[in-house]
Amino acid sequence: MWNFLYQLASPRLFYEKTSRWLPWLLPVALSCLLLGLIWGLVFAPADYQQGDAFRMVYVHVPAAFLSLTLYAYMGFLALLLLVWRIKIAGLMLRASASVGMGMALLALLSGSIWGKPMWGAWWVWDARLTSELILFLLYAAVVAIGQSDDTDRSDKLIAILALVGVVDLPIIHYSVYWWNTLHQGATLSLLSKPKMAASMLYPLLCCMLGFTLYALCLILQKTRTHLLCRERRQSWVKHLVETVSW
Amino acid sequence: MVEAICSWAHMGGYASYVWSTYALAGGILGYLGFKTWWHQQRVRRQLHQWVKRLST
Repeated sequence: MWNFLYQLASPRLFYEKTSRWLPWLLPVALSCLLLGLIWGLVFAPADYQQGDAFRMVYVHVPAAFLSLTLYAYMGFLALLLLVWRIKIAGLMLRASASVGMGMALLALLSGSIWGKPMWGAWWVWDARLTSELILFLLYAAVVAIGQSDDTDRSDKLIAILALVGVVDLPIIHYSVYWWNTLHQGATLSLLSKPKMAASMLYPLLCCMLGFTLYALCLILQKTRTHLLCRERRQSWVKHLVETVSW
Repeated sequence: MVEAICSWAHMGGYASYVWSTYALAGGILGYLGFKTWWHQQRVRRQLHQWVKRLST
């Protein structure tokens, strides 16, 4: 396990390994996404209270889940970058931030569209919504700082910002229990039985898997592109450019 | 058949909300994918030119 992670920290080995993973990872991700979304839209039964409006769950929950998971992952990468100074962690952190920002935006906008027919308002300053908005702003700050040309300084800054922002994750997760909120409690939990019927749950799990694999593909591909830019003076990149026909 | 499809697409009166959510998801996921691919192509072109310039 450690040997495998150690290998991934080497830019050349990372590039070689991900070249083998991506060609099958992307089709699997797109198939899961398509299957889950069609299953949820066409075959899952309507909710007894919300009717067909509940079908927005198949976009909103995976996007919200990923916006939290990717930020937690960024916290882990920030530790790798600050403590062990693994350069690839900085590139991956940048890539995860731009994908995570897209997911946070999707979670906020889809939640807003869902809120209108259910709560009668596009937006309320509810604890869950506000803390998710703060997460989106944190992502935006990491993306903005990460675009600086001074990579060494921006690496440190985005790592610190990612670590500080991790504080927002438990606030988002527990906001529905700590405060009186319009937002409903967690539908899925690792420790308790799901509150959804299996016919609604399986397409949701399929969508979550599809979203996660798609985000992983984007992060790996973005990291590989940044890696080529940063390592362009290395002999392995020159060799790759000369020999591989793109 | 057409009636059944229309009734399904109507989404029990929530059609505009449900379909705009799915369109939004397609737009954001598609944009992220396209941007990643576009950046990759641009970097590849730049690297090719850079290596060519180094060799001449």
